[in-house]
Amino acid sequence: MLEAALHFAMIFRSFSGSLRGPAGSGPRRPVLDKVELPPIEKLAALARLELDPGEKERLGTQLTKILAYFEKLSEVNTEGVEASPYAVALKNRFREDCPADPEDGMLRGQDLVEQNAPEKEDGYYVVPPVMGGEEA
Amino acid sequence: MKLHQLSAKEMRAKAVSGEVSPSELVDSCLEAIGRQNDLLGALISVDAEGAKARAKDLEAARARGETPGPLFGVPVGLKDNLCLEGQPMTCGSNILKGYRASYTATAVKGLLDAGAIPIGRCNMDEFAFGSSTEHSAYGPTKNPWDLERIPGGSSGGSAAAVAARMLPLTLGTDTGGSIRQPAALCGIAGLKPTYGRVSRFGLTAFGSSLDQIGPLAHRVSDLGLALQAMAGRDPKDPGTLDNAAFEAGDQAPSRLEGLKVGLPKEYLDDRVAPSILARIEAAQKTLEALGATLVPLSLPHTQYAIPAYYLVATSEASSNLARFDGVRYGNRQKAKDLEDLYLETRGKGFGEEAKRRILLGVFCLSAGYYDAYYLKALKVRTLLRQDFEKAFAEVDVIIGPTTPFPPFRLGESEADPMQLYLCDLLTAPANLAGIPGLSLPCGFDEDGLPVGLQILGPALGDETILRVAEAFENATDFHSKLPTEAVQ
Repeated sequence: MLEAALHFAMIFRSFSGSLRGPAGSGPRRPVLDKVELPPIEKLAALARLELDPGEKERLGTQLTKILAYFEKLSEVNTEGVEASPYAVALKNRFREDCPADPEDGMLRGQDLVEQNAPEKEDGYYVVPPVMGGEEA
Repeated sequence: MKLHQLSAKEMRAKAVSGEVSPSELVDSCLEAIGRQNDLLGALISVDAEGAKARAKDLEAARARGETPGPLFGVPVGLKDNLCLEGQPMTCGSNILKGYRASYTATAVKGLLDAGAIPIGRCNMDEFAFGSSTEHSAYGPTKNPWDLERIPGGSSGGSAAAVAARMLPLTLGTDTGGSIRQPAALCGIAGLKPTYGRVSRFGLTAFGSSLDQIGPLAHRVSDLGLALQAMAGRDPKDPGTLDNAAFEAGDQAPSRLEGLKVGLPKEYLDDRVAPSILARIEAAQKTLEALGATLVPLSLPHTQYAIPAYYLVATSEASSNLARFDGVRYGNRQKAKDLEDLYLETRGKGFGEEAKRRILLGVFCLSAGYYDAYYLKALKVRTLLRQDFEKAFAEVDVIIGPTTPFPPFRLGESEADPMQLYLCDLLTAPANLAGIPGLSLPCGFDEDGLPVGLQILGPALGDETILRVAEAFENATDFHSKLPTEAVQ
């Protein structure tokens, strides 16, 4: 849990801090214009993806091309248009906070959950050191 | 006709009357799979023992006097992104090699409760990222109509298995066309239900605001039976609608008098191959002969659907795929520290198309770009939805081609992913708008490749499009033609 929390905290910090739009454009840009793709290494680090040199080159070129195509959206006047995160209007749904019915299968699967763990000890997941980088 | 070539409805009828047993149906499908799957790569894994045991259980239940369900004894295939307790689920990815599901998806449970027999896991583009089923860590699936060509995707394994009559019914998932497009390219029928009709619980999420599970079959009536078994409000998926339940009608109408069919000009322009346009024109005439009225109309924002769709879908995907980090499950790589574990596991576990989409999504959601890309796409999505709302105020259904072009040759689109993204031109709008859509065969082009007719309906109009499709199917015989000798 702690690892996961740290993981997301790091991603969040990276998003809010280190990767800003082009200088001078300000954080809120109403329309698209020519956008330079940040270095592929930066994006790969944010996405926690190790890329080999061939992938870096191919993906960098392709992403630039794809983004250029996305600029087509700047033709559309969206002033006063509301955003639709979902196609249908969804409301938050609450459910009762109570133990699951043992018959619905969610509790039966606990052994399988454990079997899926790549490394475990006494019912805990084992991961390499969170900091330091010593050989595992 | 051999048993494995029957429709789900026909199989069920024979099993209920006692003419054949569920075991015989399973054996017949297993024989067809054994003969054809090496050639086609439609199924990643087959659970022959499990299927045989379940057939025996169903026979015993019947002998005890239990009422047979609407899919009693019908062998089915599941796309490899749907959980079935104890069974492997790879999502076509290396990162989930060796993973076994610890619970059963609600949609799959619906099929089980109806008496279906899961027999195998259908191949797919990794995490459903693709329109060709070439992006699977377990090798490509081939189109039964031409083994040199793609079957479409991402539910290409589900479509090819049905087209080759290995199975009468399979489940797929549709985020931007991943059921309808392979159904069209493989010459079968496939349904993407209204968003919120079928629970996504137990489906590996790709684009959460777009994903729907749906059936593929060679007869339209089987789509209705499967939808009935799966649809309904599910407390485990807060996105399911209160009125999600669905009841399949008994008989399709033989006439379509009074039905208004919309023809959007944007679906019938020069972006679509002439060979496909010709088949759609013929389909219009068929519908007219059945009594329907054709109404030309416009869906003006169609041309923006692809960029809007790829922005929304990759943004949601990059977030959904953050969970694959090698900590709790999956194919973990050796690493010196935790950060390295994430990098190595994800770097080695994901294929290139998955990486492309994750990177794109991470970029679109990042500070400074979020408003210009993601938010802009969500606003264009509103306009696309309003296009449909205006159209459905005038017409009952909208028709057009399912795909703009016939299936590529394998490997043809590799150098230029944009080409592949354009495959979704006519299917992605329905996902953005949350409306139901289906594809069914409407003929063959000059190379003998199948062409799909797409029928779209308003939200919760699933029954209407199924009835129109069945009437069309009854008036034509495209569904009865089988692919090449090699794969029967």
